[in-house]
Amino acid sequence: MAQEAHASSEGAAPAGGRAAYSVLVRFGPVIGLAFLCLVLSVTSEAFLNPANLINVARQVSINAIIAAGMTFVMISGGFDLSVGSVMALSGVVGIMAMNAFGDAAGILIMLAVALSCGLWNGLLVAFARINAFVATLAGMTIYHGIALVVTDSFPVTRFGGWYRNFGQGHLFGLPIPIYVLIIVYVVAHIVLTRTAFGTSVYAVGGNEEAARLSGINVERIRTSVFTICGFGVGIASLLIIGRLQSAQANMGIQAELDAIAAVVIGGTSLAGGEGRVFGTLAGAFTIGVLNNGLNLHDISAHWQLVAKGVVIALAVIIDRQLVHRQ
Amino acid sequence: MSALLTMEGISKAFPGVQALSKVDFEVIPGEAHALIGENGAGKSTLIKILAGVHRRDAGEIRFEGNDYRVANPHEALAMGVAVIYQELNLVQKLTVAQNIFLGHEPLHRAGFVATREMNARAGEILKELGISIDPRTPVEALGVAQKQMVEIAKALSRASRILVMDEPTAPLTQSEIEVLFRVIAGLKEQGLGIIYISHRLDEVFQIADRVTVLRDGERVHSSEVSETQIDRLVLAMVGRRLAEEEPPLEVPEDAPVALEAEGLSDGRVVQDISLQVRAGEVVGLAGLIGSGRSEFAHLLFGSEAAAGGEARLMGETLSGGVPQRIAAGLGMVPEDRKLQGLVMQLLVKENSTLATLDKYTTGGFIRRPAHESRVQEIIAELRIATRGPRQSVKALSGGNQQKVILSRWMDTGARALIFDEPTRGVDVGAKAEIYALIRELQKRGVAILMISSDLPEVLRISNRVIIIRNGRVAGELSRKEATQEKVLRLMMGADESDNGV
Ligand SMILES: Nc1ncnc2c1ncn2[C@@H]1O[C@H](COP(=O)(O)OP(=O)(O)OP(=O)(O)O)[C@@H](O)[C@H]1O
Ligand SMILES: [Mg+2]
Repeated sequence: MAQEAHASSEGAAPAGGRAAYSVLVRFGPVIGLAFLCLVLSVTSEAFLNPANLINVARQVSINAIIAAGMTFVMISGGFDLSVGSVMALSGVVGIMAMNAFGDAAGILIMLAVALSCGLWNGLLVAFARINAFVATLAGMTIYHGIALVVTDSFPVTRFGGWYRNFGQGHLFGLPIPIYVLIIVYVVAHIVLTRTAFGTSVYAVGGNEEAARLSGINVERIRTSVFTICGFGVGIASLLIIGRLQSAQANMGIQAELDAIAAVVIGGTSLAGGEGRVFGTLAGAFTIGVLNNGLNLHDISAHWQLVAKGVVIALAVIIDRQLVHRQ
Repeated sequence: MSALLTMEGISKAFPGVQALSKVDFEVIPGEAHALIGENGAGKSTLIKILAGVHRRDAGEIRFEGNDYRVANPHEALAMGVAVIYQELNLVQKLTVAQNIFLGHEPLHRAGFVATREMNARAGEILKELGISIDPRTPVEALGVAQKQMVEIAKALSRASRILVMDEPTAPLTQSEIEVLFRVIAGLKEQGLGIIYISHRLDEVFQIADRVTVLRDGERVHSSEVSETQIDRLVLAMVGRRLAEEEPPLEVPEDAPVALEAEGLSDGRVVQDISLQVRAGEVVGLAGLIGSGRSEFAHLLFGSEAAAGGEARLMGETLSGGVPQRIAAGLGMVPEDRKLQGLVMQLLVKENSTLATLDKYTTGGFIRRPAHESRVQEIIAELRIATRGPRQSVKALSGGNQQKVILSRWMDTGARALIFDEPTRGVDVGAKAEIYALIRELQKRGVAILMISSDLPEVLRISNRVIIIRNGRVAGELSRKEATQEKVLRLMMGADESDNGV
């Protein structure tokens, strides 16, 4: 019942076969993920090893956090291609700022940079009415360019400092990124399903005109979702630089593709108006588990790309079929 | 004459509702068979089965003597069965001609679309319908009524055996309706079968030969039109007698002006409109399509920017956009429920409180129990036929969707409301409920500006009628003075009225 804001049919006990369908549609991404895990646990002994699973979760957390913000943008009917560049820019600025002002101030500065990039994207889309694809494509090049300029295209490093815990630390035996991941998803889910803001995001994506005529401040909502997305990228970037103890202008390349793939596999409509963050989480894990499985089977990175593409297409086809049947 | 189409024992269930049970329906060549019934009676479902949109659960359909099975609308069109759906289905970005010929574009020998021929043929069909739209205009630039005429043109270009019209006249005004009826008469002469769905019973008597009434998914009445009367049809539809119509409430002499426009113009259609609506007064706004009524409403509501003039509410100048004006106590029900009213992906509860969500939140969080129980009350008050606050609005019948949009403004504490075609596509029973609601709002001292193309309705519930022509106020009639003829004459311009309206 948590995801009722966009269930394609009633939540309260529809007739048998249809109930099965709506469950399939709602939990489709999770079922797909479970199936994939089942196959891997049979074909590979290493897969179910706790160390392997924890490792997968830690790797997935970066993309999943970016994808959570992307879900907001895509439910509102938008798109953000600049997340990879925002990650690079906030990462290099973060390292440099920490070197100059210490960890706490540096982290605040890097989050502020990421948030500002998102805000700028949002302002362009909402107020200058530039198509989201174009606005964020421009952002993608600009932020990447700035990152190259400030680092002169050399990597920047910071060895030592407590900020590394965000990437390398453990708590009760689990890596910190997994905790961050859980917090981000719980907050995102609550915001989307339980707040007036969340409902407005769905309304703007579903029917902008109706939202506007109901007094929803469409521009503000659009700006906010991009800002949220940018902030999420900042958090993801912190996890990465904490692990690598360095950053460079070329990191995060193609991060937007993985994030959008996770959202789409998770069942969010490209047209806007529907979607769930937990679908996105399942989508991100599907990609991560798939990569891991192919690694365990010694299949080359090149084939991993192909497999990822096939899974994206399959997920969308199945989703469409189920929704259509309803 | 042998039947063109026979539907026997058609049944169809949706989750939680039996939309149709064992319905029989028949059309013979050259007849118009009217299908009427309350909102949610199953009319649209029946024709969607015919059109291949829905699959029937049970029943037989025979078409020209043969078994009729279509899997999708495309196959139905190929058989010569064309449908004008209740909701507009045009591609906004394409031109009028592209929409009319969507899916069956005339082609050059090389396989390219013969654009010039397509535009020319579209132009002819439009001319037949008596409308002057350039076929190259993008559909998004048209008003609702013009879009409806394009839908009609689109269906006309494809119907060779049966033409189904699901409330074709809802967005149209008198003069277009007359053109449409002439076209229908012509099609009947050519031997087509017409299925005609409408909530306006007078139209049924004007153009239909037979009439079938559905109630709760069952056929409850079927007869020749010449052998029945309005009262009997209404009784069959609603299963009870409706309360007597009450005249509108008198507005107290000392009621203050609540909503006021002074010299509003948008620099395009609307030219310098001034009017006043007093607290507790219903002012009807009449006018032809394209006269600028809806555009004026958007200027008042702040959803379009005014080029000149100002709007005032309770004496205060209204500035800013929609959110500010809603906060000041204004509300509007827009004319196109699919494009401007509903968010189809959301549920009834969210749609009915889209303008008032903040009332049900604490620190931004929605208080679900309070929210849902209030929506439950609204559903009961307006008698919205839905399984509950958590039903998806997509599954509601057209009339009930309209009620959901109306319900949005019940709770805002609005001082003035603008209703643009509030009863479009709403059945007789629900219409009476909406009129009762308007009276209730009137009693609370809400000023109401109502745009409607249904003239008898305007005359029935307005205290005053203001007529708009070419973006200007063409006249104003008090309730006592206003007659259908006078209003029409002002709508059309005095010189045209001489050669018959
Ligand atoms: N896609 C759907 N899913 C679930 N229920 C549906 C769907 N379409 C229609 N219904 C339900 O079937 C019933 C009949 O609806 P239908 O649209 O045929 O009514 P109608 O007679 O055309 O009403 P109106 O005059 O309001 O257009 C209603 O109870 C409606 O809620
Ligand atoms: Mg209908």
